[in-house]
Amino acid sequence: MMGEDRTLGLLEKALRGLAADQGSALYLGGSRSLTRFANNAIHQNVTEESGEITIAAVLGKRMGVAATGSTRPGDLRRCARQAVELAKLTPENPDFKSLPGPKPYDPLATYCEATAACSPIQRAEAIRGFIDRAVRLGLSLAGAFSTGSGQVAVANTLGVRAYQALTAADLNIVAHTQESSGYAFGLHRDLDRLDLDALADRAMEKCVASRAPRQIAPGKYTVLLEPPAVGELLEWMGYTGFGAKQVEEGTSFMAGRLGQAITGERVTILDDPLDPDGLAMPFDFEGVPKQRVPLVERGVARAVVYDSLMAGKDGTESTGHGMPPGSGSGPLPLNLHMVGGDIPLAELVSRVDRGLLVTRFHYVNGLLDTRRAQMTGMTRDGTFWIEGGRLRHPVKNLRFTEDVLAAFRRIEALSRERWAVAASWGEIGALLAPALVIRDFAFTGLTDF
Amino acid sequence: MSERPVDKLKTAIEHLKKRGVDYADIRLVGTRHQGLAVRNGQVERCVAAEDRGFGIRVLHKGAWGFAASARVTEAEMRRTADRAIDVARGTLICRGDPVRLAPVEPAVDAYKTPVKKNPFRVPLADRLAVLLQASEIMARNPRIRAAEGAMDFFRTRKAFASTEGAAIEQEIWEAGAGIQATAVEGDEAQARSYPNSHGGQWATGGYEVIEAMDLAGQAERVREEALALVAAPDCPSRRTTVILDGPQMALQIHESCGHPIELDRVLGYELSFAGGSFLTLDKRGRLQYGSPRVHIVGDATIPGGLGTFGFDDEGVRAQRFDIVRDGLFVNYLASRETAAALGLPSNGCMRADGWNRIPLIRMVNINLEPGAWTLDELIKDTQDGLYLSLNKSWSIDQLRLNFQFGCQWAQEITGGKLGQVYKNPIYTGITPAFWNGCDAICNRDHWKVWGVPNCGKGEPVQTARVGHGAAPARFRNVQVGAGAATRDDR
Repeated sequence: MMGEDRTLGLLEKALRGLAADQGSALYLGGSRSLTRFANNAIHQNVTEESGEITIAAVLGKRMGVAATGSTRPGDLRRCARQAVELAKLTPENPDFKSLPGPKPYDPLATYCEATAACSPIQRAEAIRGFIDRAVRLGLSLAGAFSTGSGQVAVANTLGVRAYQALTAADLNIVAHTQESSGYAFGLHRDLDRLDLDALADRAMEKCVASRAPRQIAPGKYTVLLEPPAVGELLEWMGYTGFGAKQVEEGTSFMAGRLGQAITGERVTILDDPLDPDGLAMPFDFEGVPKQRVPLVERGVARAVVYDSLMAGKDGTESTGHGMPPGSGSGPLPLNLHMVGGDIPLAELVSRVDRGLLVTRFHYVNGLLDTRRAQMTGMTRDGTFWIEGGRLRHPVKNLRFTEDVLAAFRRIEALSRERWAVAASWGEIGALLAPALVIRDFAFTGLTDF
Repeated sequence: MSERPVDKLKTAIEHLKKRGVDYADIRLVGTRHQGLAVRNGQVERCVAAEDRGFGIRVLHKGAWGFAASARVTEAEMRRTADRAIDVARGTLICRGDPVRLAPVEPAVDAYKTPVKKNPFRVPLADRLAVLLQASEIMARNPRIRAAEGAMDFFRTRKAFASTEGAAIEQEIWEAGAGIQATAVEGDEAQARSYPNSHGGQWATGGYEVIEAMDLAGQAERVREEALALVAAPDCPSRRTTVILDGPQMALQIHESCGHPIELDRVLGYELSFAGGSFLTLDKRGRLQYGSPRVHIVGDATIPGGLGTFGFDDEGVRAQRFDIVRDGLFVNYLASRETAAALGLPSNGCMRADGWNRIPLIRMVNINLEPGAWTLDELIKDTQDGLYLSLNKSWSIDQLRLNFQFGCQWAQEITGGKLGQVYKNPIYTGITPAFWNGCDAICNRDHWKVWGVPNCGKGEPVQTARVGHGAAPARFRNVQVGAGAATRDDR
């Protein structure tokens, strides 16, 4: 790890002499290790150190962006020159107002030595412990145990200086037999806060319970979605609906509906980058302090997230949700959290007379009809029939196709507990989801296992 | 004579030999990328990026270890080699059967993608003009809310050396571009793209790939079709005949054939993340995967394919091989390790997403061989059905059986003629039943290798650029629509 002074010093050096009206530099880098296991053995074990510096040069209302994986002074100068050359050749963007100015952000503890120092031997020994138990139960395990540390730093010519060191540890684990499987996942900045054995036990218990699944017909069922399943739906909502760009182009389910009820009043969703249970992060890739943004409050569409470009266009302030320069994605919420209810998760099943418990979804896609948050996906790794408030038997996997806004109008209960769910952007943020009981959830297809 | 990149690897290879590893390879990879994106007449992304580093993979006492670094010096290579051995020691704590590698003749060779026009030398203003012109044409209607275009180029230089004596240099050039118009009216938003959705068309090659697309020439049609879609009724649910266009066929092949034939998935190595495969080892040579008209090959040698190269990232020479012959499933995509488990030679499908990732089994160009029909003949021969064009959404179960695809565009076929346009078409099926319903494939005039630039797999997730040769094809007895349940609930 280069540390705060060296990293910011590197960025300042990259910006020194930048022949532009404004400029910014972003460093993203770190060391990440991952041990992967399948068929009750480790089959992949990797470690990497990497870093990238992205320089944005602004000439009036023109912007060019260049990136390099090198920190050598000559390469940085070349990268800066290239950003300026690209800016010169780019037409003006009338929406561009300015790069953000400096704003203070509150310190957040996001680095844990126990996570950063975890060795391949430690990971392997933990995995060997899970496998020993699996073998005794006649199960096979597959999964990945990952630990790592990273640094995010931003500097710009208006005085922004932001630095954060991060760690993250996560374990995903699937226990399986020929006819059954069970899943568990855990994620935290502090490895010592992950109960690895409990996660492994949960996956194995689910696998044992899901032996000899029966097929049930597609149809509408009351469903108990455990937090990983809810997290999949939230991640797609974040991608298709909660950013200012998607609203501007009219593809978001929030477009034209701010202030209106878009879903049921049990639903409150916010982007909360400051909650330590969800991989907190104090500033965005422009160095703007991240804000808690209430997106949906008691079913009413309240707000979307902004970066400085979209904020300038809409005459508002950035909420601290800018992505790396040149990504083109527009602002995105990376810490979507759904507010939970007051029922312990373990009691939720007793609220279901006839229905299904879904451990997780597989391959959800939210692009079917983004105005309605219509999504499809498969169940996997532990789907059970509930009757009379008790789990009765496992069922074979099913495909759902649902308008999620409509489904969220039919929520009957939310769990008190919320679990962190990994998102595709890694250690910068995570989802935090409760379990939900939803009436009349539409299952539209079957598969053979 | 100046030192070649592969010569930089010699010292570390000698160091690894001295450390007594079973096997090791080093890949030194340097990538240059330029990307442009415009939206509504403005430049949204104008990026240049360069990246260089190396990864060392060691097999130590039958266990894998891998380490990578961006500091390309001999000392760092030795340090990274030692780290890779340390990582392998961790693997040893919980190793399965010792890893064996299928034999390969160590190649000393070089490969370069044929390039007619260096895209990095085409003036940026000229490249931008292509996208801006297309964007301006698409935006000539106020109901078009987003008129977008993007263009990207990659040049990847790889040097590969192994303790077995391989020394290979490659230079792979890739280019991609596309445009999209999104129309909004009332509570509806619909997009239409060209030449393909999700980032356009991609191929190995230079700027000639972009010039062949004539993006501006298609922009008016794209705009008008987006406007037609936003005013169109929803596609009705029914069981019917469908004709899929080439790009949708490419994704159909990708999801329902390309992934389940990856031998690492079949052997359970991807189970916790991407899943397994219904094409278990007992199915090879026995399962009637599709109708007798279905011939699918893996081909890393075809000019221009996005999955075309000289050698894979284990140093195995690019090959062409059958996957499905006369509808019968006959072969997998393999690595040296997985091929050895079956007693077969590797067919050269290992690729890594950059220097800091290990190679995984990735699709090459997985191609459905062309049939005999013209598209006009196929439509005229269809009494009742739907023509479906360009992918909108995709989802498939973890064994790759139950799939559901959404398309941008549906057009009714009645009495051999195209008619009513519908929006939001969805079709769904079970992979072998669907492919056994294939009764006609268009001919080579309609056949093209479509690039998929964003195939995700593995942990940490790696993105691969792969190709699929495809022509429009007809499938009988397909379930269109997910059922009325969801639409009724709005």
